[in-house]
Amino acid sequence: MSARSKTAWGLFLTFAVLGFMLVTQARVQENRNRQLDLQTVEELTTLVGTLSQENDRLQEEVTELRLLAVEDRFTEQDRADSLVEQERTLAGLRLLNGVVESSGPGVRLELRDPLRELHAYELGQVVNELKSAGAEAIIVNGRRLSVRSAFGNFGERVTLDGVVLTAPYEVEALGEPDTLISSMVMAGGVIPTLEGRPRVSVEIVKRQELRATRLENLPTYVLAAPSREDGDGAG
Amino acid sequence: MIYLPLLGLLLGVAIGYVVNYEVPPEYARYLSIAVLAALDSTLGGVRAMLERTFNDRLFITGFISNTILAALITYLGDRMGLSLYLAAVIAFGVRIFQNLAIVRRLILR
Repeated sequence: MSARSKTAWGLFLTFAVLGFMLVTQARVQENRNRQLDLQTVEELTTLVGTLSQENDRLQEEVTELRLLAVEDRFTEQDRADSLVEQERTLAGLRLLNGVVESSGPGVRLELRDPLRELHAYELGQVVNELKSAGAEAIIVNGRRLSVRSAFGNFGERVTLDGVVLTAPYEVEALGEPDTLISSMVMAGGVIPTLEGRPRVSVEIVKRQELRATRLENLPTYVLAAPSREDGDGAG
Repeated sequence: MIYLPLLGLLLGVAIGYVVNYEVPPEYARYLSIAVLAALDSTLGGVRAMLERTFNDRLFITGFISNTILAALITYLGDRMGLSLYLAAVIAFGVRIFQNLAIVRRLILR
């Protein structure tokens, strides 16, 4: 083999190796690009979507936990206070509205009216005066008055919540006895006015223990609803 | 005789396609820089041939050592956290263009 042909074959071999390397390298690069493209189009989209969802979820959780932390810090005491306050209010309302039976000191009036001179108006005056003097529960002829009780006239007779009352009328009121009596007997007050009628007489006595039964039928409300701002009972 | 290197190149390309040899992705960088070194060496060989100063021993050893050295520098750079392969890219790139220019002149002369 001559020197020239040796050189030529050497070049031939190296060029062959170069060609092989070029093709291999080109293929590697092509595969890499394809993998990258695949990742970009499908996997990366999925990945980004998943991460985005996860991020949103965690963000929501952070917000919720922050709100919980703030609520816990600021309202635990408030809520307890508010609950005690609400329970007290509720107990008071239950007593006043006759939801529960109540007992205590008070006064008892007996209105004698043999000629049926007294009507719903006069009995209403008595009850209103007792309420004004701070009566906490009122019973007329054994019937407890609710916040919506009303007197009416049925012929010559007086009715209470639609039930006919018969004289003498017994009115019992729970409250501070001295205050109730003084408001009833004061000059120009209810009792002097009633006793201005010839045959009407009123007897009023203190009672250490009066009992007001709870209402059998609590008043119902059809049209009245709690105002929106007070609706949740807050405060 | 001048067509023999071209034939070799075609043969290498054909073998590459037929063999379908896959280089692991982590070694792809070393192969790419080795390809650049090989390209430089072959162009240097062509130039030497045209200048009639060709030495086959010099050429073959140059081809092999340049290729290995380029890959080695890249590997070293990776280990050191330095982009040393850029040095190889620039050195071989510049030489490839220089050799190409000289080869062109020698052919057109």
